[in-house]
Amino acid sequence: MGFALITIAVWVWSNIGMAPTAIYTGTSLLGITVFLALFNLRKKLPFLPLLKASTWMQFHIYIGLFSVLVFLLHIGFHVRSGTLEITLAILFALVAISGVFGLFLTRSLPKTMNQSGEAVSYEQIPRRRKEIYDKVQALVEGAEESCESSTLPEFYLEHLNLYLKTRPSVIHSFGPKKRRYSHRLENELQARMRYLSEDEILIAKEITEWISAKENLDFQDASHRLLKGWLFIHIPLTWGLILLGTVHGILALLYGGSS
Amino acid sequence: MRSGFVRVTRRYNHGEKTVAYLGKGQTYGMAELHHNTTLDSAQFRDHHLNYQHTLYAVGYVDILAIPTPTVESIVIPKLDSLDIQALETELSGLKPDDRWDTKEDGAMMEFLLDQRAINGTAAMFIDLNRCTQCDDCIRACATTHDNNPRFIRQGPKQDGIQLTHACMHCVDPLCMIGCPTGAIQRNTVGKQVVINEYTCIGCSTCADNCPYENIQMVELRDRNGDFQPGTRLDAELGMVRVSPTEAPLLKATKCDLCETLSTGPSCVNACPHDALVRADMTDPEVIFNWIDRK
Repeated sequence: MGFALITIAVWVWSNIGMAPTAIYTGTSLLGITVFLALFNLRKKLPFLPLLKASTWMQFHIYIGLFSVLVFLLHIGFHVRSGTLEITLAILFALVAISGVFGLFLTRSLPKTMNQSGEAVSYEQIPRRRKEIYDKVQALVEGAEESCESSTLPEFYLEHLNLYLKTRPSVIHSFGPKKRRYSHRLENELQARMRYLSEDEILIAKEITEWISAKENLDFQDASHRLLKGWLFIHIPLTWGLILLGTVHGILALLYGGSS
Repeated sequence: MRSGFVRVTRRYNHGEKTVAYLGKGQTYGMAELHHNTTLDSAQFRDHHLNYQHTLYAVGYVDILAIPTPTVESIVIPKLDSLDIQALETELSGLKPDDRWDTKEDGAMMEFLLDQRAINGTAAMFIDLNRCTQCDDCIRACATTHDNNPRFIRQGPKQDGIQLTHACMHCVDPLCMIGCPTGAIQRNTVGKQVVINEYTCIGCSTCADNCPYENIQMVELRDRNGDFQPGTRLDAELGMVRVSPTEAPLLKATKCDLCETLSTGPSCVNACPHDALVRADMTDPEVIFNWIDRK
């Protein structure tokens, strides 16, 4: 095996007209990318004595960052021409950016989720959403019967019903608090306080607490989706990068001239 | 302490703060007694120490009380320099700046005692400030155990630390009491509490006994996902298989700390964020150091 590799290396060295740097950095880059992708495979084989996943993660981060430098060396710090090369460069950039973004998310979001309010696991979110919906509905129905007033039911039908049922976009939950729909709802409810009896005000305050709970739930939901979602970009792009990188390597070895 | 656990508390304003716990083989009071024997009669009146803590039994406890004169006349004279140094260190730990007296650690200590996590030799804790809920730990557990994960990634929380529903492999395992076939036993090598799936008859005694609800009864299924028929005791034929329409065969399952793997528990190895630990609670320093890690 070793002899075969050395033979191939000697053949490449003597037959390819490319600059050695391009060969070194190109093969290193492909090797690094394959190694980084193996992290996902290692996670599927937890019973093998292949170091802890947390150790792999550290390697993944530092070698991933190092690969950016190797990439820049490989392209000579300027954008190359050619459809394949440009596609490869864009893919590499997307993989690197999504990786850094993922690192930022995994290091910051869990703490924020844990400290922002009630931490809810992803599987429990639908149940919790329904629980909040049912509680508010019961409060409004109770208010309608006991207080004989339509203020809270109207508010519920106009604003709350849809809000409590729906799942907002990820971006919405990370926007400024003052621009969030829950904040507008609370203001709207506050504005209607003047039409409420003392008993209704107590119910309205309880509804306000449930609106806050829903807002936190939406934040938890959005955070979960981000934490899981970025991998759906990072991993497929990585495999695409390896595939195109291999094609690029073969073409470069077959048709590569002096760089 | 011969067996069981006691809560060690100190007076704190109008209440009492838990500062430590003691288990089998540990002693209490030696530091104060030793300190008092070092004083002459003139010093004794002003500088002697009473016991600095109060002990409360946590469930069943067996304590051996040794009379003070016996300790003073027989035990203390035979202490070597290392023992005395350890006692002096312990006494210095009773000062107000003792780390267990800080607000955060006090709350965590109360939590560990309230949840009876102190009984565990491999209690599972998850740092929620690091956990991304990627479920790699669950998947690793399932992969190692024929797609049947042995723990639930949920549990009581305190200060961002979750005591997870996984078998803690207790010092004093209640689950081992009453198993009619002896299917649940302690591994003689690794000291894990394990269930022999071939001799388990699914009676649920162990699951009912576990106060932490860390043993699950699962219905056996075949490769197609269909329930496997169970067995029943027939007066004439002995154990016979019941018809497939009757209740499926049950087996008790729990974490076995991946006893067959040389690499240790898969859940710990699979966590990419170093957010999960199996802690031996006989030494609380282990979990406190892990919580305090950067």
